[in-house]
Amino acid sequence: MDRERINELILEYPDGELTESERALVEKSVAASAEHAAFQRRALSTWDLLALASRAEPRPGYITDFWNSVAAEEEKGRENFFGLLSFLRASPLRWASVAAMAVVLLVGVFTLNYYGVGPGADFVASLQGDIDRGTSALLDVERTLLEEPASALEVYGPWDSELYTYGGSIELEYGFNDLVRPAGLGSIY
Amino acid sequence: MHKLSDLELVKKVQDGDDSAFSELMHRHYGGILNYILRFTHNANNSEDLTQDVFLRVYKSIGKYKPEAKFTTWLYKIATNVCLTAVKNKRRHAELSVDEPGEASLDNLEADHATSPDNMSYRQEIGTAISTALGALPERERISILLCKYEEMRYDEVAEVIGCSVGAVKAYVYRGRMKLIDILGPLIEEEGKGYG
Repeated sequence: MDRERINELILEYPDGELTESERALVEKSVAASAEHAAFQRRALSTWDLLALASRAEPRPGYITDFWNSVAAEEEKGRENFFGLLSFLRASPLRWASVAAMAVVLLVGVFTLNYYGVGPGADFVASLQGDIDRGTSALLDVERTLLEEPASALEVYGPWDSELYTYGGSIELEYGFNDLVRPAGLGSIY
Repeated sequence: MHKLSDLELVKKVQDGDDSAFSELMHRHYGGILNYILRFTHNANNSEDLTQDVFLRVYKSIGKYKPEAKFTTWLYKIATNVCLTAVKNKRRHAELSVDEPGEASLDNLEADHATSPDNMSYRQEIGTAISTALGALPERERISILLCKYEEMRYDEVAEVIGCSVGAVKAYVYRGRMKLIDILGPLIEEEGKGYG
């Protein structure tokens, strides 16, 4: 086993996740090789040294600060909502005029629609035409498929080969455009 | 009365009990603060980032599904916050020189050291470790931090990072090998000077 794999196992050894054979291998390698033993010592010392890393304590009142932040966020959200309302209220447009414009627009749309005129009428008519043409094409395809004669399937050969033994030996010669119906099979067609 | 589990507390928060969230913060705030501190290597904003993490958790706790351990979910959010902070800092550093008032971990160590003798030793080691951790690629750093300081299992770390257990093992191995190289001289010195 190569050195890198042994080092890997040495690092994993303290986790207790190695198999019995892997543990035995580590113990054997460390006992037999000064290099592996030195590596194990260095690895353990480094891992232990990390415990001395910088550490901070939470500042006093961190929970209160948090709830203040939550309250501030909620307040900001409310302000944004009411801010939008007050913006609309303060805008030069008056609600009555906005409502009047909306009513005029609606009446206009309905009127044009009723008489079938206006800029959208031609577009709607051409769209309807496209839909009708598409439907008709689909119906044609469906009709063709349904009307396909059973003889068209003969190119794939006889359905039941046993039937063709009736009448002696038959030589068949099939081609996509050259279907030869064997003599003596008239009774089954 | 028995101590409620994290999941039970989360359930209470989802039912509208904010005091349960305070209890969750009480349990995990220190861990997240130190995780962020070691990840970002910046004492100045780690407290603000920790508050940000818990604010995000509070806002999205309704979406939390108990299939994952609460701490796994919590550290996943903290990791995302850290990565964003580090990216922003990097972008900011590209645009300007270092901020003059930025507190380093050295200052923090000075604040928390107990005696003058101990201070310089702790300061030196703390700085060396922070520098060594900061030199690791992000995934290796996350894996080492979560395995070492949060005592997470490989599968939990894998869930936080979003990779396979095998990949986490590889990150930890590579990270530890680098740390041995970087901190090795310090250990030998420690053996001579402080041992």
